Amino acid sequence: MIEAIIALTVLAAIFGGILGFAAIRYRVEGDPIADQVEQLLPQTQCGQCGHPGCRPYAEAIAKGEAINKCPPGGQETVEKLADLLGVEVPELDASAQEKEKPKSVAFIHEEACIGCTKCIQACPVDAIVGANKQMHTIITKECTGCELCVAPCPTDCIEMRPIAQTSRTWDWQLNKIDIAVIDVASESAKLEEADNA
Amino acid sequence: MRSWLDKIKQGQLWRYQGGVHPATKKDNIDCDKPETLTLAKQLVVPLQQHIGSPAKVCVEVGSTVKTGQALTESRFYQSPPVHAPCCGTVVAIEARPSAHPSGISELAVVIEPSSIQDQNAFMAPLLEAELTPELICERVHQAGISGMGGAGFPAALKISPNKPLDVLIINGAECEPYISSDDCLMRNYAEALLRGVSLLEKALSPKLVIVAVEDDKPEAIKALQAAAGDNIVVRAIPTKYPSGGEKQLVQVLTGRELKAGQLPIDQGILVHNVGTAYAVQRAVDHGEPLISRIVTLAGDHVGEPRNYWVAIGTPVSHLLEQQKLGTHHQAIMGGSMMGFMLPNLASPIVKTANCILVNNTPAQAQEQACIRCGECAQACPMGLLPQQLYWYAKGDDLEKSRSYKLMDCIECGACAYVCPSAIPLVQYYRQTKAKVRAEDLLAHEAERAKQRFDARKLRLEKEQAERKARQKQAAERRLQQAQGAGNDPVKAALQRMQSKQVEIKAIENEQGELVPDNSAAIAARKARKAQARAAKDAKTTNTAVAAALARAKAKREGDNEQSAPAKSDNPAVAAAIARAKAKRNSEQPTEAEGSKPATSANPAVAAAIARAKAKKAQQTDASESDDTAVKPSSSSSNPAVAAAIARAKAKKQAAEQPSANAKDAAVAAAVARAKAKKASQSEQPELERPENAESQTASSANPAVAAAIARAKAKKAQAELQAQDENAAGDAKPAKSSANPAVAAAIARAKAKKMAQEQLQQAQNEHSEDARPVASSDSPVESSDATSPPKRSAAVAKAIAAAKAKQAAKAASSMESDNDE
Amino acid sequence: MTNNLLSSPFIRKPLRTQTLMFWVIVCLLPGFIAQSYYFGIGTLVQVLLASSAALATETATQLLRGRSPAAALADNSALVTAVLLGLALPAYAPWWAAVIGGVFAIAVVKQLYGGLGNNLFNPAMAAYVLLLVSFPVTMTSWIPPQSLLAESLSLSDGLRLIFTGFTRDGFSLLQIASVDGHTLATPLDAVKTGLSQGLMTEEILQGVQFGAIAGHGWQIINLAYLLGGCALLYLKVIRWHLPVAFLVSLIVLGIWGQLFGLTNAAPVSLHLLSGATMLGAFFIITDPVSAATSPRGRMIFAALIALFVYIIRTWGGYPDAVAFSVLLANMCVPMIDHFTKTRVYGYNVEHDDD
Repeated sequence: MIEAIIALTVLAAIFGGILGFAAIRYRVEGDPIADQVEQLLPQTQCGQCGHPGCRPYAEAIAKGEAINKCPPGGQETVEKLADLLGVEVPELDASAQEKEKPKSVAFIHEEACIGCTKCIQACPVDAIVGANKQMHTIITKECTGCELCVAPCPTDCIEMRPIAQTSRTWDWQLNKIDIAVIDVASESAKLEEADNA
Repeated sequence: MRSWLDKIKQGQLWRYQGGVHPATKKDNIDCDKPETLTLAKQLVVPLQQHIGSPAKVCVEVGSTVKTGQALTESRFYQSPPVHAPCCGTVVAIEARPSAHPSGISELAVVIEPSSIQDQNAFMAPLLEAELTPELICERVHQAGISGMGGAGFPAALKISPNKPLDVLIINGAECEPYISSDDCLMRNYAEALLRGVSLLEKALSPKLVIVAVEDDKPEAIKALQAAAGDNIVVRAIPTKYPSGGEKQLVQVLTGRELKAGQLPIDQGILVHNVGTAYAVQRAVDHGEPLISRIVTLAGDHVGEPRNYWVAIGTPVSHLLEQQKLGTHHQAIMGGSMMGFMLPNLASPIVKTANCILVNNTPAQAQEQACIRCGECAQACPMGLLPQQLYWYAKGDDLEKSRSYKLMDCIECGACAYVCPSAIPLVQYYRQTKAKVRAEDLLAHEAERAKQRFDARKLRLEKEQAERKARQKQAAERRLQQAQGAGNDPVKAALQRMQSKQVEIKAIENEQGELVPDNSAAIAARKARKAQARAAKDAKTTNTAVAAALARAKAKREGDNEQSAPAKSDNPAVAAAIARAKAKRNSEQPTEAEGSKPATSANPAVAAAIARAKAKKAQQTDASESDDTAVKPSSSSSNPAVAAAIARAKAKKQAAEQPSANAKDAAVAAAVARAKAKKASQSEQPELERPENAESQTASSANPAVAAAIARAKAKKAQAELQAQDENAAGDAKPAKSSANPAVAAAIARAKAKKMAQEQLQQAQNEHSEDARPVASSDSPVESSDATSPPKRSAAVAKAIAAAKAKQAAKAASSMESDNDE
Repeated sequence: MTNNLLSSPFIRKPLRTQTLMFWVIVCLLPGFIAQSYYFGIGTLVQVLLASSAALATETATQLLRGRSPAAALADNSALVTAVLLGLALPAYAPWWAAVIGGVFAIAVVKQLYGGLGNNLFNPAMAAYVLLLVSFPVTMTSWIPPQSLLAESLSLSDGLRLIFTGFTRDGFSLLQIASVDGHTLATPLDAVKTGLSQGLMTEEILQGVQFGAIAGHGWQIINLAYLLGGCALLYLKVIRWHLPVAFLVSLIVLGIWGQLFGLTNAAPVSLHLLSGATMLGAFFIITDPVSAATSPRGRMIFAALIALFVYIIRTWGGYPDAVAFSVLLANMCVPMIDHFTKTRVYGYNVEHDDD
C-alpha cells in the first residue's frame, strides 16, 4: 500500500517537474492567438462589432469575447474562428445577422457634396479623396463597405451600391440566369421593318 | 544518346496520363472550302474577346466604318484592338449579351452593315524587308489577333517572348468532338497557313517547328505535308481527348512536363493555334485584321453540318437561321466537352468561338451518389483526384480543395464524361474555383484595408504628436516671454479685463429670456472690422474695387442708366458704369455720347467716357483719334479727363515707338511718379496742378513720364473730389460722414456687397422650389457637373435644404427619445 | 421559369451505375451455377432470401429518409450486396440467417452510414461477419458437396431444411452435414486442423474432401468465379489493380510460407482455389465504395487484405478469413487514401535535363 503511494507521488513529482520546466522554458511572449484571429477577420475596420477596428476585436476574442459579432465576415468567419479556437460554432449574432448585406461600396453623389470633409475623417481606410471645399469622391477599389461615411454626411449624399458581378467574377450559378428567348423570325422582321422605314 | 530535339525530329512521341476517347462525330461534317456567311442585320463586336483588358474605343455612335477599321486602339500588347468586320455605321456602343456562359452583358460596338461592302481600311502588306520580329509583332497586335483555339491570349504577347525558343508547336489537334473548323482550315488553306507558320518562325527563330494534327484528320495531314517545306515538321498524334490542351500537347510532342505555374516558354516551347497562324499570314501579307473566322455548325438538329466563314460579331441566331433552326433550340458555343450553353442567342461570334452545336437538349441526367469507382481519377489528364475534389466541393471545404490542387484543373470534362453516376463534376469545380478566387480576392482586399488602416492610424498619431509639440512650444515661448518681459501675457490680459470692470448687462430677447447684452461688444467689433477693412483698402485702390463691384452690378442690372449713377455715391463707381455702357455701345458711337461728358456733372464719369472713346478711336483711325481726343481735353476743364486722355495718348505713342526706348521710358516714368507724389503732397491748389500737369505733359520729352505724373496727380485730385462729393451728398448716418475717404469707400463696398447678397438670396428663393430631397438614389452613375452658376446655386440650395432637413429630423428624433424617457 | 442550362461536358460515356452493378451480377453467374451444382438448391434459396430482405430494407429505409425508393432500387447496388451475401452463406443455413444478414447489411452498414457511396464497410462482408460471430455453429455448417453425401438432398428436402431446420425425415442440418458419422470440415478447415495435428500437407490433401488441386467442389467453384472475374475485367467494369494485387500478394505469401516451412503453411494452390478467394478477389474487394480510391492505394489495399487473409488462415482462429480481412482493410482505407494521393501534373516534377 505504502509503495503505491510513494510510487504515485514520485511519478507526480517527476511529471510536475517536467511540466513546470516546459512552462518556463518554452514560454511564448504575447498572445499569438490574437494575431491568428486577426488574420481571419475581414479588415473592414467598420466597428459594427462594437470595437474600434479589427485588431481590438481580435484581442477581445483572445480574451474570451464572443466570436459571432462580425457582420462583414458573416457566418463563414464565425466558423473559421470556431475552428481556430476549438469551440462550437455559434450562429451569427442576431444584431449582426440583420446587418449582413451583399458586399457594397460607397458612392458619393457629387451634385450634393458640399466639401465638408466629415466623411473623409470618418473613413477608416482613407478611401475618400478630397479636401475642404473641394469635391469628395470614393476610391472604389479601396472601399471596404463599412458604411462609416454614410452617417456623418450632412447632405446625405453617400449611397451604398452593391458590386455587380462581371463575367470574370461570375459564380457559375447556372440556375440564376434568365434565359432571353428571341424569336429569330420576328426579330429579323422587326429589323427589316426598321430598315425599310 | 540522341539529344532531345533529335528525338522529336525523328518522330518520337510521348504519352500523358488519363484522357478519354469520346466519339468524334466529325464524319458527316462538310469540311470543303467553307462558304462565307451573309452579314447579319446587326453585328455586335465586344470590346473584350481576349484575356487581358479591353482597349480604348476610338469610334463614336453614328460614325461610318470601313471593313477592317479599328474600333478600339491600344499600344499595349495586353489589349489587342477589335475591328469592324464590314462597312457600316456604328449604331450603338453599349452593353450587349456577351459570348459567355453567364450571359452578362458587356460593352460592345454595334454596327449596322451598309448595303454596299466595297471599301476597306486594311493596312499595307508588310514588305519582305519589313519582316523583322518587332514589325511582325506590331502588325500582329494591330491586327487584333488573339489566340483562336479558345483561350484568347493576345498573340502579340506570345510572339515577343524575349526568351530563347527551342520548339514552336502549331496546334492543329482539335481533339473535341464535332469541332472541325481547324480541320477545314488545314485542308483548304494549307499553303497560307504554312506561310503564317513561317512568319511566326521569322519572328521567333525557334530551333524546330512542329505542326501537330490528330490522326483522325488524314486529309489535313496530307494537305499540310504536301505544302510544307523541309523545316516544318508535320506530326500526327494519336487521337485522344484532351490532346489539344496546351500542357498535354507539349507532353505528347516533347515529353516535357511544365512545373506548376510555369509557362511553356520557360522551357523553350511555345504553342500557337493554326487559326492564329493563318490570321498572322492574313495580317502580314494582306494587311487584313482579324475580322472573320471559320465556325463549325453541327449537332443533331443541324441538317447539313458544315463550316462557314463568319464575320466576328455575327449573332449566333443569324448563324442558326442559315439552317432554319429556331430559337427554341439550345445552342452550345464550343465543343461538347468544354463548350457552354448560350443563355442568349443574341450573343455574338467572337474570336475564340470555333463551333456552334445544336443538339437534343440532353435530359438532365439524374445525378446519383458517387460510388467511388475511381474512373474519374483514371481519366484525369492532370493527375488530380476528382472524387476527393467532388467531396470537398460539395462540402464547401475550400482549404481542402486547394490542397488537392483544384486550381490546377483545366476543366476538360474527362472526369464528368466517365462518371457512371452522371455527376456534373466540372460544374462543381467551376463553382468552387469561383469561390476560391473570391476568397483570394477578399484576403487581398483585407490585407490592403489593413495596411491603409494602419497607415491612417500612424498619420493621425503623427498629427496629434505634432500638435502637442506645437502647443508645448507655444507654452514655452509664452513662459519665456513672461520671464523675459517680466510679465505674463496671460496675467496681463486678465488684469486688463479686471481693470475694465466690464459690467455684464442683461436684456430680454424676443422669447422673454434673459440673455447677456453684447450690443457694446458687437458695435465695437463692427467698428474694428470696418477699420481693418479700411486699412486694407488704403493699401489697394479702393476705387478700383468699388468700380469692379459696380461693373458687375451694372452687368447684372442691365441697361439701367439712371439708376446706376444716381444710386452710386462714388463717382468712380459711376465712371466705371459709364465705361461699361460706353463699351457696350461702342459699335454705334453717337454724338450724344460725345456731348455727355460735357453735360455730365461728374468729372470722373467724363474722364472715363473720354478714356473709352480714346481707346476706341485708337483702334479705328490713328490720326483722327488724336484730334478727337485732343479736342475734348482742351475744352474740358476737368483735370482728370485731361489726365486720362494724356494717358491714352501716351500709351498709343509708346506703342508706336520702338521698344528700345521702353526701358528708359519706364525708368523715367517711375522717377516722374515719385516726383509727382512729392509734389502732390505740397499745398498747391489742385485745380491748377492738372493744368501744370498738362503743360508739363506737353513740355516733357517723354509722354510716358508725363502720363505717370498726371496719373498720380489725378489720383489725388480724384480722392479729394470724392471726399467733396461724399460730403456734398451728405448721408445722414453718422458712420458715413467720416472725412476719411477710405472709410467712405469701405462703406460703399459694404453696401454693394449687401445688394449682391440680396440678389443671390432672390435667386436662391427662386430655385428653392426645385430643391428635392437628396435621398433619391436613382440618379445616373455619371456625376453631374454643376458648372453653371444657376445650377451651382441650385445645388447649394439643395444641399442647404438637405442639411436643414437632416437637422430637423435629428431634432425630432431626439425630441421623441426625450419624450420616451 | 427555370432555365435548363447545363454545364459541360454535354456527352457522357454510356456506362451507368446500374449497368455496372448489373454486369457484376451477370458475371457472378458462372460461380453461382457451380456452387448450385455442388451444393444444391440451397444456394439459390439463400440468394433469393437475402435479395428480398435487402430490397425490402432498402425500400423501407429510403422511405424513412424521405427519398424515392425507386431511384435507390434502380441502381442495383442492394441487389449485388444481397447476392454476394447469399453466395457466402452456407447453402442450407436457416432462412433467418439470410434475412438477418440482408437487413443488417442494408439498414445498418449501408443506409445508416449515409446510403450508397458513403458506407465505410463492405455491407455483405459486415453482415457475414455479424452472422459468423453471432451464430458460429450455423455458419460453419457447410454441407459437403452433394457428390460426397451419402444421399443427395432433394429439392423439397432442401427447402424444408432451410425453412424448418429439418428434412422430411427429421434430420437436422448437422446430421446431414456428416459423412461417415462425423462432421466434415471445409477443406481449409481440414488443412488447418490437420497441420496443427502434425500431419504433412500431402497427407491432408489425400482427405476425402479434396479434389485434384484443392477442395473437391471448391476448386471448380473458384475457377468459375475466376472466369467471371476475367469477364468483368474484359468488360472494364473493374480495373486490374485490385484483383491482381490481391492474388499476387497471396501467391507471394504462400510461397514465402512454404519456403520457410511454416508449420501451418498451406500450399499456394489451396489458398488460391479454396474458400472465397476468387469470389473475394473479383467481386468482394472490388466493391468501389469501401475500397481505396487511387490506383496505388488500391494495390496497397488489396495487398493488405491478402496479408490479413494469409495470417488469419494460417494462425488465426477462423478457417476462412476474407470477410474479416476485408473489414480490417476497410478500416485502413482513409489512411491509405491520405498517403497515396496521386502526383498532380506540375508538382514534384523530376526533370531529366538534356
